[in-house]
Amino acid sequence: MKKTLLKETLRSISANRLRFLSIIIIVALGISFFIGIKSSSPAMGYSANEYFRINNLLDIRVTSKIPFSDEDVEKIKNINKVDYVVRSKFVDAVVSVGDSTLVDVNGMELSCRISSLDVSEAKKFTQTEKADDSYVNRLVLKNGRYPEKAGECLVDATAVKTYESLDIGSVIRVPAEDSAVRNSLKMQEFTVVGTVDSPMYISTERGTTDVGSGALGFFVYVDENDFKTSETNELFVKITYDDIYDKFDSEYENVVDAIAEEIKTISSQSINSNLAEIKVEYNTKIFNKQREISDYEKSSAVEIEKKQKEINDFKKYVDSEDEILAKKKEQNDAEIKRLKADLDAKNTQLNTIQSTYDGNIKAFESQSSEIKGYSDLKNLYDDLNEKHTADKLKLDEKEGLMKSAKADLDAKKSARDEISKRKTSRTNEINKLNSEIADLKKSNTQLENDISRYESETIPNLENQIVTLKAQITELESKGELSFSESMSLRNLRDNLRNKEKELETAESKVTESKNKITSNNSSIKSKTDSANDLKTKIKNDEAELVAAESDLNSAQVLYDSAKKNYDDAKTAYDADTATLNQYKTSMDKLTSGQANLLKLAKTIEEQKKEVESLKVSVTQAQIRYSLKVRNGSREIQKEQYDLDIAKNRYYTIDNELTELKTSIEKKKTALETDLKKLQNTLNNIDSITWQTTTQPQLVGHSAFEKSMENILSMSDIFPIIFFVTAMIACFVIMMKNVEEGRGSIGLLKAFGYSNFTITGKYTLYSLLAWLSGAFVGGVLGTCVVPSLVYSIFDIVYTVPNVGARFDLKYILIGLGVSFVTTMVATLLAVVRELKMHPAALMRPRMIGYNRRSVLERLPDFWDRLHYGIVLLIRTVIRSRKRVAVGSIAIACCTALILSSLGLLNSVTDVSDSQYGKDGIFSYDVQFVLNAQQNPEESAALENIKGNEEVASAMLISNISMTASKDEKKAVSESVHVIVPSETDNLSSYINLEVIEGSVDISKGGVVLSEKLAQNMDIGTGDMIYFTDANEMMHPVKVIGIVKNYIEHYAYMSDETFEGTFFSAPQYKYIICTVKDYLTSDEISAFTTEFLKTEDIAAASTAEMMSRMADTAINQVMLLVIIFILSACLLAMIVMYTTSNVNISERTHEIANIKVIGFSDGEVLLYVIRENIISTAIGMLIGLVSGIFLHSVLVNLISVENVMYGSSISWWSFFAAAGIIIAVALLAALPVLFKINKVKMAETLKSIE
Amino acid sequence: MSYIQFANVSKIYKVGDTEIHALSNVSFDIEQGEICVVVGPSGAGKTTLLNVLGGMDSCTSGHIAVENRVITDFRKRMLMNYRRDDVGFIFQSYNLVPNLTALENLELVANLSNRAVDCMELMRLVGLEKRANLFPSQLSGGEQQRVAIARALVKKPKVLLCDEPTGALDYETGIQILKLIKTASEVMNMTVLLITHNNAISPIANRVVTMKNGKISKIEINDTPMPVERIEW
Repeated sequence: MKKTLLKETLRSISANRLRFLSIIIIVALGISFFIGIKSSSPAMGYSANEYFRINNLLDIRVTSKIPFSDEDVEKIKNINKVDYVVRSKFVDAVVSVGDSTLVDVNGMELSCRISSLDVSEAKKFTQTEKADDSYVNRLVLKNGRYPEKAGECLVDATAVKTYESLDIGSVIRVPAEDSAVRNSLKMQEFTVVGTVDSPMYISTERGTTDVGSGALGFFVYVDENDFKTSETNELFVKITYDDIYDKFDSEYENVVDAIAEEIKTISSQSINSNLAEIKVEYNTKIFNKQREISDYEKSSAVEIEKKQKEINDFKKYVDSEDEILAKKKEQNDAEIKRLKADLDAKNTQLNTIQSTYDGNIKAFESQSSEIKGYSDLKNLYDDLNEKHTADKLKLDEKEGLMKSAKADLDAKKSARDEISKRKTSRTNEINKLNSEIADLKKSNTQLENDISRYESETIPNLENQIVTLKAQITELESKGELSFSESMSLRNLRDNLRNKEKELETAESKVTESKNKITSNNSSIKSKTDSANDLKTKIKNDEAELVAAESDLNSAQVLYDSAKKNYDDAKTAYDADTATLNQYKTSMDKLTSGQANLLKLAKTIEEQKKEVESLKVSVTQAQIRYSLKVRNGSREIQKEQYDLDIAKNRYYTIDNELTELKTSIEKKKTALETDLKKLQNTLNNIDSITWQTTTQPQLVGHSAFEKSMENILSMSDIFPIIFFVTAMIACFVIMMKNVEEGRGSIGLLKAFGYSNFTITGKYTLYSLLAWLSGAFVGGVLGTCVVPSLVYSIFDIVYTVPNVGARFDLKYILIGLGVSFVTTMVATLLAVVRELKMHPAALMRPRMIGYNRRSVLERLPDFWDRLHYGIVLLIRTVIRSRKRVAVGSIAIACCTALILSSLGLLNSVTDVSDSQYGKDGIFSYDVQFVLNAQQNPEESAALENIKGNEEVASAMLISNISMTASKDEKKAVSESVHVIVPSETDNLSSYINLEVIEGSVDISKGGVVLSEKLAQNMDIGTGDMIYFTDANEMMHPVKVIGIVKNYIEHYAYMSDETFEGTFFSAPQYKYIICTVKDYLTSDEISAFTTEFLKTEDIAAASTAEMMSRMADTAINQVMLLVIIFILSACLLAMIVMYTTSNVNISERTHEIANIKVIGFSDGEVLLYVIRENIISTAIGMLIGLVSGIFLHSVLVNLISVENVMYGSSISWWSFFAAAGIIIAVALLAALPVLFKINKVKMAETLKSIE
Repeated sequence: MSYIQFANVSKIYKVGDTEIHALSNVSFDIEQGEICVVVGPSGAGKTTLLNVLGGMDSCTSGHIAVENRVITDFRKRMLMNYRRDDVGFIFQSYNLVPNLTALENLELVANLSNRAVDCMELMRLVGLEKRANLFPSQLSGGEQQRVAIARALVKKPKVLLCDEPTGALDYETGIQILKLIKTASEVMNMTVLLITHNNAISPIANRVVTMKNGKISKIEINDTPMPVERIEW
C-alpha cells in the first residue's frame, strides 16, 4: 500500500478515535463473552480433573460393616486394572462442639465422619506437593496446621464457613455413651488445629450416614494412631488408568462401574466363603457382647448397691451428726434463753422502778414549786379579810339609807294616788250632769215640735171639719122635711161634729200641757248647769294639787334609786371578796396538807435511788453473762453447722448421684444393647450384606459439579451467543457505515487512479486493525478473566481449586473467526459496493431510489391528515428500516439480557423467603431437635411445648436424610429429607404443600416429592423412587405428587407408608411448631432458648436462622447477575453510541443545514437521533418480552444443586430494565449533543461534499 | 435609518499565530426591498459578510443592525430565532436534506414557522409542482436550487441571503434563478443580499458593493436596475 494512503488510514483512525475504540470494545466484548463462557465449563472440568489427579482421589471407595481381611484386600488388588488398594478407618458420630450439638440448615443435629489420616504424608504433600501413592484423597490445608499430638484434629473448611463454632481452637467431643466411637477411638476429645478441603467432598453436600439425623454434616480427620482399632472398614481403590483421563467422561464411569461390580462379586464370595466363619465370629461377638452386658449388669448392680450403701451410710452419719448438733443447739438455746429471761426480768424491774422513781422526782419537783407560793397567799388573804370586815359595816349603813328612801317614796306615792282618785270622781259627776242637761234639751225640742204640729195642723184641720159639718147640718136642717137617709146623715153629721169638737178640745189641752212641761224643763237645766260649773272649778284645784304631788314623788324616786345603787355596788364587791377569801382559804388548807406529803415523798425518793443503783449493777452483770453465752455458744455451733451443711449438700444430691449412676449405667447398657442389636442385625442380615462401593462419579457433589458444568455449558449456548451476535451485528453496521461515510474519498481515490485493490486495502486495514485489537483484548479477557469470574461464582459451592486458564482452541477459533469474518465481510461488502460505482457518482450524494418511498405515502389523504411528527417518525422507520432493525435487535438483546439478569436477581433473592418466610413453604416457626425419639401419644417434650402459651401448635415429625435415586443403579442420586408427620392430616398447617402435579394426600400411601428433586431425577407422578437406607438397602416408593419447594429436597410420606417401605417405625425426633402471630423474631428466639434449657430438647432452630443460613449460599449468584447487567449495559451503550456517532459524522452537513434553517440544538438532536429513539423503543419492547423467556431458560440453567429458584420476574425489574436502557440511550445521546453543538454551520456548508 | 446597517464590521480569523482579516472595517447600508449585490474576487470576504449577516458567524468588532435590531449583540438563542424567522438562505451547493423529498424539505422549514406559506403553492411558484415528491438526488441542479429558493421563501423571510446561487449553474438556469429571486423580492418586499464573483449580475441590483481583501472598495447605487433577462455573461 502506498505510504500516503497508509498515513491517511491511520489518520482517519485517530481522527475518530472513539469510533475505533467502540469497534474494538464491541469485538472484544463479543469474543470475550463467547470464549470466556464457552471455555468456562471445560476449564472447570479440567480444574476438577487436575485436582482429583494431584490430590490422588479414590476411584472406588469400598466400605464394609465387617472389617476387611487381608485376603479381601488381596482379592481386590488382583482385579484387572486395579492398581493398588489403600486401607483406612472411619467412624461416624454425632459429636458436640464445645458444649452443644450443632444444628444444620434444616434444624437437624449435625453428625460428622471421623477418618484416619497419615499425618506425615499429609504434611509432606502440603509442603512438597508430592506424597506416597498410598496417601489418597489428599487434603488441602486451608488454615491452621496438621495435628502434632494425639487429640488434635482437622475439620471441614467448608463447614467452618457455615458453623463458626467449629473453627480452629474449638473442641469436638465424642459422646461417652457412643460405644462404637468409643471402641474405635483412643480419645473422646479432639481439639481443632486446622481446616481442610477434601477432594472427596467438592460441594457443600456431605452425604448420608447411619447415625444422627442421617445427614452427614462435616468431616473430621484425626491421626491414624488416634484410632484404637486396627481393623479396616474402608478401602480406597485406585485403578491403573491414564491420569489425564477425563473423570467426567462416561468411559471412565464405565470402567469404575465394572470394577465396582467385580468388587461386589468378591464381596459376596468373600462373605459367603467366610460366612460360617463370620457367623461364628459374630456369634462369638454376640455372646461376648451378651456376656459383657450381663457382666455389666452384675457389676453395675454391685456398683449401684455399693453406691446405695454409701449413700445410706453417709445419710446415717449426717443424720446423727444433725441430731447431735440439734441437741447441742437446743441446750445452748435454752441457756441463752434463760440468761435472756433473767436479763429481761432484771431489766423490766429496773425499768419499773426507774419509772416510778422518775415519776416521784417529777411530782416532788412540781409540788415543791407549788408550796413555795403559800406565804404569798397568806398575806393576800389577811389583807383581804381586813378590808372585808370594814366593807361589811359600810354596806349595812348603805342599806339603812336605802330603806328610809324607800319609805318616803311610798308615802308620796299614796298621796298622789288619792288626789288622782278625787279628780276622777269629780270628772265623772260632771259628765253625768252634762248628759242629763242634753236629755232635757232634747225633750224640750220634742215638745216644741208637738206644739207647733198641733197648732199649725191638727187644730185648724179640726176647726175646718167642724165648720164643714156645721154647714152640712145647717143645710139639712134648713130643708125641712128630711128623708130618711137625710135624717140618718144628719144624725151622723151631728155625731161627727160632736166627736170633732171633743177632739179639738183635747188637742188644745195637750198644747197647754206641753207648754208647761217645757217651762219646768228649762228651770231644771239651769240648776244643773250651775252645779256642773261648780264641779269644774273643783277639778281645776285637784289638778294643781296632783302636779305638786307628782314632782314630790319624782324627787323621792331619784333619791331612792341612788341609795339602792350605792348599796348594790357595795354588795357586789363585798360578795366577790367573800368568794376570793373562801378560795384563798381552801388553797391554804390544801397547801398545808401538801407540805406534809412532800416531806414524805422526799424520803421515798431517797430510798428508791439506792434501789435503782443496785439494780443497774445487777442488770449489767446479767447482760455480760448473756452476751458471752450468745457469742461463744453460737460460734461453736455455727462451725459445726457449717461442716454439717457441706455434708448436707451432698446429702441432698447424693440421690442424684445414684440417679446419675443409674442413668449412665442405663445409657451404657442401652449402647451395649444397641451394639448387640446391631451385631444381631448384621448376623441376621449377614446373607444379604455386601460391601458398599462408591465410585468417584458417585461421590457426593460430583454429579452436582458435573451438572453445574453442564449448566454453564448450556448457558454458554445462549448468553454469549446472543451477546456475540449482537456485537457482530453492531460491528457489521458500523463497518458498513464507516465505508459509506468515506464514499467521497473512495470516489476521489478512484478518480486519482488508485486501483480497487489498494482502496479495498485501505478499508481492510482499518477493519483489520480494529478487529485485531478487539480480538486480542477479547481473547485475553475471554480466556483469563471471564472463566475466573464464572469460577469464582461456583467457588462458593465447590471446593475445586481453579487451576487457571485453559484455552479451548475450538471456541477461540470460532470466536475469532466469526468476528473476523463479520468485520471483514462487512467492510468488503461495503467497499465492493461502492467501488462498483463511478468516481463521479461516488462523489455525489448517494442516489435515493423510488423504492424508499412508502406505501403509506401513496395514500395522500391518510398521509396529509397525520401530524408532521408522526409522518417523520413513520418515514424514518420505513426509510432506514435496516438501521432501525439492526438497532432494535441490538437493543432488544441488551434489554433481554438486563431484564433476565434482574429477573435472576429476583428469583435468587426470593428463594429463602419463599422457603422459610411467613408465607413460604415452611410455615412453621421453630424446629426442635429432641435428645431421643419420642412416642407421639405420650411425648413429654411435645406436651411441654404445646403447653407454652406462646405456641400456637406443635407436632412431632420424623426427618431422615436418605439417598434417593431414580432406579436401582443409583445413576442419578440425590440426598433427600424424608419427612414423616406424626399427624398426617395436620402436615399442611406446618408445611405448605402447593401441588404442581398429582395430589398431596399422603394418607393414602405413596410419597410426595419436592419439585427440584423430581426435576433433577426426571421423575413424575406414578413413577417409582428408590430410597437407600442406612443399611444400604433400597426401598422403592410410588410418587403420588410433586410440590413446590425452593431449597433442599424433601419427600413427604405418612407413617404407614414409612413403615411399609422401610420395615421400621419412623423415629419422631423433631418437633415443629408455630407460634402466636404477635411474636417478633427476637421474641421467638428468646422463647426458643428458653426451651433449650429443658432436658428433652437438644437443639432448636428458628425460621429466621434457617433463612439466614440459606441466604449465604445464594449471594454468590448476585455477582454473576451484576456482571451480566454491566456487560449488557456496556454493549447497549456502545452500540447506541456508535450508531449515532456514525450517523452524525455522516450527517454533519445536514446538521449544519438544518441549524442554518433555524433548528435549535434540541430539535437537531431529535432530528438526528430519531432513528435511535425508534430503535430503542422497538428494541426495548421486544427485549422486555423476550427477556421473560430468556429468564425462564436462565433460571433453569443456573440452578445450583438443590435450590429451586423462583420463576417470576417482579414488576420493578421491568421498570429497572427499561430505565437502564433509557438511561443508556440518553447517555449515548450526550456525545451526539456535544457534537451537534460543535458543528460550525459556516464552515461545513462552505464545502461541497 | 436604513434597513440593514454595517458599521465598522471586522472579522479576524486566527490560524495559529497568523491573523487573517476576512473583514476589516466594513460599513455600508442596505434599504428595505433592495437587491444588493456584493461582488469581488475569491477571498475578498464576501461569504464572511453573508455569514455574519445571516447569524451563522460572529464578527470580531463592529455592529450589524437589521430592522433596528443589533444582531451582533444577539445571544445564541436569539440568533437561532433570527435565523428561524427572519433570514432565508440560498447556497451555491443547494444544501437540501438528501433524505427528504423536495416538498418535505419545504415542510421541514414550514414546521418551524407560524407564518409559513403553503408549501405546494411555493412549489408551483418555482415551477416544480410536478416534481415535488422527488428526492434531491433525483433533481437537476437548477431544480434543486429552485427547491432551495422555495425552501428559503417558505417562512417569508425579511432578508434573503444568497451565496453564489448561480455559481454551479449554467447561464440559462442561472438567469431563471435570478429572475425567481428578483420576483420574490418584489412580491414579498424582501431585502436581498446576493454575493457573487460574477460581475455580470451587478446590473440587476439596486446597490452594488465591491469588495477586495476584506474591504469595501466601491459602493454604487443603481436607480434603474436592469431587468434580469437583459444581462449576459
